[in-house]
Amino acid sequence: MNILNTKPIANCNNAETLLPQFVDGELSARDAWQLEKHLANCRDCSLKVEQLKLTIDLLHDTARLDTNDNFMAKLHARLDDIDASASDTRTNTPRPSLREIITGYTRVLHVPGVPIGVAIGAVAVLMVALIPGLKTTPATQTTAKPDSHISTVVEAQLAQTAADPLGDAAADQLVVHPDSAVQDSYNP
Amino acid sequence: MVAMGNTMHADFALVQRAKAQDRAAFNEIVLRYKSKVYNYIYRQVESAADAEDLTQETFVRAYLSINSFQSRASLNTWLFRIATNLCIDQGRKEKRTRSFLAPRPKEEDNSIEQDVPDSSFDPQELALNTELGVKLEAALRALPEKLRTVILLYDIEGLSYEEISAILDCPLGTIKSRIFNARSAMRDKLAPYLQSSV
Repeated sequence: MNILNTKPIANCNNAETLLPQFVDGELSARDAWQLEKHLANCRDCSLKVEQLKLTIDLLHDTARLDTNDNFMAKLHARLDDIDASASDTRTNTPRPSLREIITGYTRVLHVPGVPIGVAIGAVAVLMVALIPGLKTTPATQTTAKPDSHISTVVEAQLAQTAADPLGDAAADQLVVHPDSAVQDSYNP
Repeated sequence: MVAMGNTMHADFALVQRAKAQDRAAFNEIVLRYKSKVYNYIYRQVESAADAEDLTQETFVRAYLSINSFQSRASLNTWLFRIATNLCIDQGRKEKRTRSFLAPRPKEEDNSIEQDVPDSSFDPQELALNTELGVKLEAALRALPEKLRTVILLYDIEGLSYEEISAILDCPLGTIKSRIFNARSAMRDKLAPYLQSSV
């Protein structure tokens, strides 16, 4: 740092901007030196700095006050009240039953508890009744090989034809199973 | 710096005990900080009774919310933040009350009595100089709220720029600028009473 190359503080406005750091001793050595040079030649700024330092001293030495003697007693009385009311809240609140917990949840959701249970049950019954895929199928049917399935169907149709030679129940049965071997023989 | 570190360490231990419902630890916190908090509030509100009530309220709120206190901030900062919020609320109430009563001079007015300057000024005797003390208190109360708050926290309670920035939730630059403006305003108000050597 070449101290001789530093610019002098040209006017009082420039000096004013450096005063906050100067009075707190936070100004760099170079700026402090420049400001002191200005202050040596400017009585107005010098007076301002002096008064500012005196004001700060005055603030630092402000009289200290304290609370009244009964401050702690009053505070502890208030804290005791707070503790007592918190304790009352804890002890006076009975433990909720399962029914109250469920009712509480349904109240939060704004729905009545019993009707929603009935509704869920009804939907479940309807699903089982209306959706064929959900019906339970015998294990033999699902695990049986295609050949045995075909022979079972053919046997059933033959038995039906024998029982009702003029009816077309066997044909109806064949339409239900379009990819079966029986259909091929019926519509070659 | 070491002393400050020790204070923070001791405060941390007290807060941990207070969080575990140790009333003696909370009592110790109150004894440590009640004077600082009271001095700060006293110069922000209109009466000693209000200052006493708000100091009580500061510690009641601290007691109720001690479990939410994060040790990232210092206890000092946290308590002053609670106190500052209470003072702001109180200021609003007083303003509303005043609007129903007689009009008062604006905060910015230089309403200090223009007495004869005190020629016996001596920085070492300031605390004992009652007349100058009265002028100082009047000058502080005449400052706008934002300037008064920073000068009380910085020059009277000795908080750092960073702590004040955290309390007021303001950038550091704003705090520094406000402190300088507040000091300059105080200097202008007290100039007639300051015996300078220049």
